[in-house]
Amino acid sequence: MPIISVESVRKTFGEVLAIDDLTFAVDENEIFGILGPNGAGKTTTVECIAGTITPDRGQVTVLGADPARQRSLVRERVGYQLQSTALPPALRVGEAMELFAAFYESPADVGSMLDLVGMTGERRRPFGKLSGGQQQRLSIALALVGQPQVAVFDELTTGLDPQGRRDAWQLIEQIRNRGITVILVTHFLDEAERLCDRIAIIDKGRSRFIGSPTELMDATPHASTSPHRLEDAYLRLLDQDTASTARGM
Amino acid sequence: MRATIALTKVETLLLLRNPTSIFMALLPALLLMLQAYVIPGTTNPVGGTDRALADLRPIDFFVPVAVAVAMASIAITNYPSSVGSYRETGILRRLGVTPVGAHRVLLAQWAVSAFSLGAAILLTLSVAWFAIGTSTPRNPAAATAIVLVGAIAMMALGSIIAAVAPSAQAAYGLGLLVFMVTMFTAGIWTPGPLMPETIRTISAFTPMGAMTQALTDAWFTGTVSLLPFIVMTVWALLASALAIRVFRWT
Repeated sequence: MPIISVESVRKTFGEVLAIDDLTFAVDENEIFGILGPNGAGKTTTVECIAGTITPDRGQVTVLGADPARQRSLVRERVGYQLQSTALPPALRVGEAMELFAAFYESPADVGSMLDLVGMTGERRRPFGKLSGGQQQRLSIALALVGQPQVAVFDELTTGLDPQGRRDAWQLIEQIRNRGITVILVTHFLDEAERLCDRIAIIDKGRSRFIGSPTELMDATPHASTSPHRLEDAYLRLLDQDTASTARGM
Repeated sequence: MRATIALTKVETLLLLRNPTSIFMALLPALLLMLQAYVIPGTTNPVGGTDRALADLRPIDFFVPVAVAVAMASIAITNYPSSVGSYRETGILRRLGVTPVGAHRVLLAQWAVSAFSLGAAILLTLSVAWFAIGTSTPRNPAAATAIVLVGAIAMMALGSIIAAVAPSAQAAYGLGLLVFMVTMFTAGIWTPGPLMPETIRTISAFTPMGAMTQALTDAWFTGTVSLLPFIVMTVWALLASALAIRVFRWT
């Protein structure tokens, strides 16, 4: 029984087609990756799941509810870390956590959430004075403070140094171990290979592959000896699509 | 309720950490009162046959206007700019995916603006009373009621800008445009009885016009009709309903 389902969803912004006939389902307690090149429609997909945009066609169901219509129900149970968001620079870490905790019916203990993301010592530090990695760790804590069943992370590790990325990976695994379903939007194939049970590859608004990273690698010939097997398979898949699109023109 | 209180607490903390925005908002009202020192004749009695008004000086008529201007400056430029900057930097986008609704975000901004409005009114009146020696309102209860209802109407008007402005600068630009129009209806160039009758009648149906005319009456004659209260209430209801309807998180 999927916890999130996206069925035949289409969304356009004026003349631009963002996603088209997109279908996938996310099972309970899995880490589900959404991958694709820039402008593929990944963030639009996440925003449809968040209910911040309403699809033109198709149906999105999150925990049995329509996120665009039953907003407060879905937002109570899904935690989001979105791209291009911020907090007021003068707002301190502890104050931000207390604020977000007050938004939810049964919030987690703020202290234990800060402990989970390793920011107990930064409680009094203003958001504007945090490093990129610390800001991302805080955004994870803010996404989890409502004790959600699902956590959505949109390009969480973009801009982080290698150590920051490894720390974020560990955190995501810990989050899944707490029984939370994770949707991870990422550009990084190594990240998807390490963390994701299944991935959806989206290109030009359409889904090109849904399955486990191993299934994608196994389905791609000549990739078995490469140290970057998933990346090769991913690029080959996108190449095939470009070629078939060109042939169809 | 818990979320609204938490948001208000945070907004108050942030305002206290960066109070410079309030001082900018106070400038127009203080400049108006400065006329007493720079424009000749503003402190001489106007004279005429109306005994209630004959002893008053032109600068006295500017006091209710200055109070209204101080309020409009905060409600129409300051408050929308602050929400505009939240939209620009993605703070609203982040709040938009929590269970907190747009009405709570705006309500917290209203609550914190109430502090700024109170400070602005107090400062304007202090200058008027202590530096220029102007009179106190003849009907303080009516003047207080007008300020309260007027503040809600002006904040509701500012909320429409706050609901849609994509950035702090856009909100400020749009706010300044509305501010200039409200200045005209407030009678900044033709205060109190100096405003021509036709313009006075039209202005009476705008929120700022209704507020300044009623405030002028409460100040100098002591009697206020019900009409300005109705005008301000209708504006408040319509503008806040529109603001909630058109509110954008991004």
